[in-house]
Amino acid sequence: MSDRTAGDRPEDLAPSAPGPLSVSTLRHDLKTAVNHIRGYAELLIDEAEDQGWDGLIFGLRDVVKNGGVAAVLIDNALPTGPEIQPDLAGLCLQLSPLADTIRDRCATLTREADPTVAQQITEDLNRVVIAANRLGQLLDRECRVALGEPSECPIPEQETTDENPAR
Amino acid sequence: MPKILLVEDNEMNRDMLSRRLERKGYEVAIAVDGLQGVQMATEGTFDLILMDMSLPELDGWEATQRLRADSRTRSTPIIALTAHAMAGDREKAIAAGCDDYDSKPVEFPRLLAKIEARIHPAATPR
Repeated sequence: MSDRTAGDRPEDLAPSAPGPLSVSTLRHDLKTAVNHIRGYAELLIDEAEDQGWDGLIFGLRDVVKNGGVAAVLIDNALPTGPEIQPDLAGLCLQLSPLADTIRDRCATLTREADPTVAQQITEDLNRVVIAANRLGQLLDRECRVALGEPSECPIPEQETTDENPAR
Repeated sequence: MPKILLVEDNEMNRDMLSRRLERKGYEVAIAVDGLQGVQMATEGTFDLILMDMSLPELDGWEATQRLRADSRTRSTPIIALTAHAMAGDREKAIAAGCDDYDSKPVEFPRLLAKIEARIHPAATPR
């Protein structure tokens, strides 16, 4: 991490106001997961178009679409300024099924793909699944916090090599 | 081939974005934290820097300030990337010395347009 904390930075350079810091962190973590979901799905679409894997494109577009919906839900539920109250419970209710849908779609794509194609797409589809799992874990924790329930288990570290342990 | 320095600590973000940029004909070098980013930017030659703002060792805000203070990198375009996307972050990124700002999840065509506008300003419609 930087040798300076956020509070040490000059006002005009601080990335976020101190008030909504926890919301900011949640937005960051959720959007990072959505970024992985959409990014890898779009990358796979590009490769599918190049390689003529037409059977994959519809399912991948569905993953991208669901990722886009997830991003909008996060933007709507989690404020970008301190004056709006976050709607964590509403976000959990709407976003958790989307994470499940994305996982299911990836499983279907892997299962139904031609074996030679499946071999080439499995790694990236697994990355989408890892990101959807991360999304689900974050939401599960936040739902429990919003409802005042104890968390069943601590949120695991992100399932990728990440040089920033604070994430 | 235009050369981009991607400063990003998250492995999946790095992998995904670098592969997508390479598919579009860019050469991509990678730094995994702000210190490495500053070192690579000052020792190499890049057409553009994509700077994640939440970085270990040295964050993107301070890394950008250092690059702007160095004559070797003063004019290299820097596009800030952040998943925080809180109100006012864009203005803060510009104030820190970034030329542009984009939020995650990355809308790749939008980001690509911003990159093109900085690397080939004359060819990009305004």
